[in-house]
Amino acid sequence: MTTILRARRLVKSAAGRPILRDARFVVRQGEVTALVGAPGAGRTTLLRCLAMLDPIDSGTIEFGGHVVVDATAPVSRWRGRRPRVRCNLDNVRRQIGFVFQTDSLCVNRTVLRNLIEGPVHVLKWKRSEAIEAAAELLGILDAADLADVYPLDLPPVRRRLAAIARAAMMRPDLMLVDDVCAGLEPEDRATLVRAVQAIHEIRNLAVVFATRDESFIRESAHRVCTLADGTITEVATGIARGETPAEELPEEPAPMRVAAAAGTLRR
Amino acid sequence: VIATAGWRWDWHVLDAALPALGHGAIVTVFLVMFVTIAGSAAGIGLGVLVASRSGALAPLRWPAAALVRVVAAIPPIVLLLAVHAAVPSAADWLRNLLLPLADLRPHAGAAETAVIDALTSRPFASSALALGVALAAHVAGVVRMAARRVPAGLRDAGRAQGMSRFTLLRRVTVPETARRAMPGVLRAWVAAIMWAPLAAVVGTTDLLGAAWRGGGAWPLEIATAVAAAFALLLIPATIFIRRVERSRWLATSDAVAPEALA
Repeated sequence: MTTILRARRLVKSAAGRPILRDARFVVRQGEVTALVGAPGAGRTTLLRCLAMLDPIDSGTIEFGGHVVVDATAPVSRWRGRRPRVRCNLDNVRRQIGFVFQTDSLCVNRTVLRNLIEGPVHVLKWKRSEAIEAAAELLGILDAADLADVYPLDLPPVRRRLAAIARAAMMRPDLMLVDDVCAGLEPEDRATLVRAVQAIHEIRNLAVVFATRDESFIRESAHRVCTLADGTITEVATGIARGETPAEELPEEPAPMRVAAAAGTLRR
Repeated sequence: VIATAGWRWDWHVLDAALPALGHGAIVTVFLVMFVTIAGSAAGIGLGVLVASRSGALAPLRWPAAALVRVVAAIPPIVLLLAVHAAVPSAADWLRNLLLPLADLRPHAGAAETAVIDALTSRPFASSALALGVALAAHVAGVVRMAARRVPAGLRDAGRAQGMSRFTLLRRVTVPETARRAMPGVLRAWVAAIMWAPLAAVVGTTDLLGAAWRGGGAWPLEIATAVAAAFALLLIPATIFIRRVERSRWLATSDAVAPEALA
């Protein structure tokens, strides 16, 4: 499996508090990674840094084999900042779908219009093509009834489902899913997990799912990464589906059993 | 109270005053149009400047923010008297811009001449400038607050989809700011209509000014007609604003009202 994203020695702090300390992370094509950790462990921060929505203090991020963020170079004395990597981050972000914990949908646009916004105005699809693709995707997610509804008229689980569909509409190579299941009932969590699974199966895209949903970890995740104190401390590889690791990860700690990962969820 | 005082309505007094009231109404309309268009344009520009995060605009941001705060805190009547009496050169500057209207006078009838004279007078220029500045300050405050209330999550969602800065501005920041600012800007426009009669204080022959002069002793019938004219204008405007606020396009819980008008 080809490595699609690799983050090395990520350091990130906010308001003087270290959030990520030397975090290393690898995502491979078609792989589903569950990112677990206690609340406040830095999962959202890690995902936002990987999506290049927040700057990192130090470290590098490679996407598709190219360094897209390099915060290891010394700060230029003349410019007062690090030399920038010659890379259009907008183009990179187009290939990374991000599902926020809160849906972040435009409330004055119907779900369908929210879905076609990116394809039409970023990918420059024809509007009719985008509408067709959105209708097809909603059908796959068993959410065809959402198309003409405004987000404020929907319950939270349906809004988050629409947000997952919006991220998938961009046909990304990698989808980063923040903890969309937070605060939902078990049956609602299962709905969202099924949606992510369906998108993964159709597109065979890489998924990083920050979650504490044990069923997802057991049934879908190829790898389980545990984030604690800003560092990815444990990685379980090829466990969920009884697969063996595709390759050893020299930079990461040894694999662990999923039960151990699930145990961290209940702390 | 009027009935018990034994007042007898005599609407015939309106016959003599009606032509002057008509001219005054036209001047009021021009005044309101100038104040709302120029004041809103200046206010939106100032609001964007104050709300912007651009480093290049930082030296202008603080003076602009201070100006907006100070002017919004001054009652329009005080601002009007200050501009008219204390800063006549500013009013003359605007009057010079309007003076080309006087060239139309040879081709105009008596009624049009009265309106042109009013529009090219210094009191009109003072009123337009002072009320325009007052409206600009209120609109700028609304735009600044509206821009700040756009949730960061919406911008992040756009950035996560790979939107460029310009696309993000065009598809997210500007529409979302406009949605939040629109009710406040509409209320500021209504306020500008209500401020318009203040122009009479410095001698503008607008609706109120014309009524005052034409009626001499300010009979109740003329006062009632002026009040009815403003009510006829403002009641539909407030109904329209309520409908706009309830529209789906403005479905937001964090719309901004002008601070002084909230």
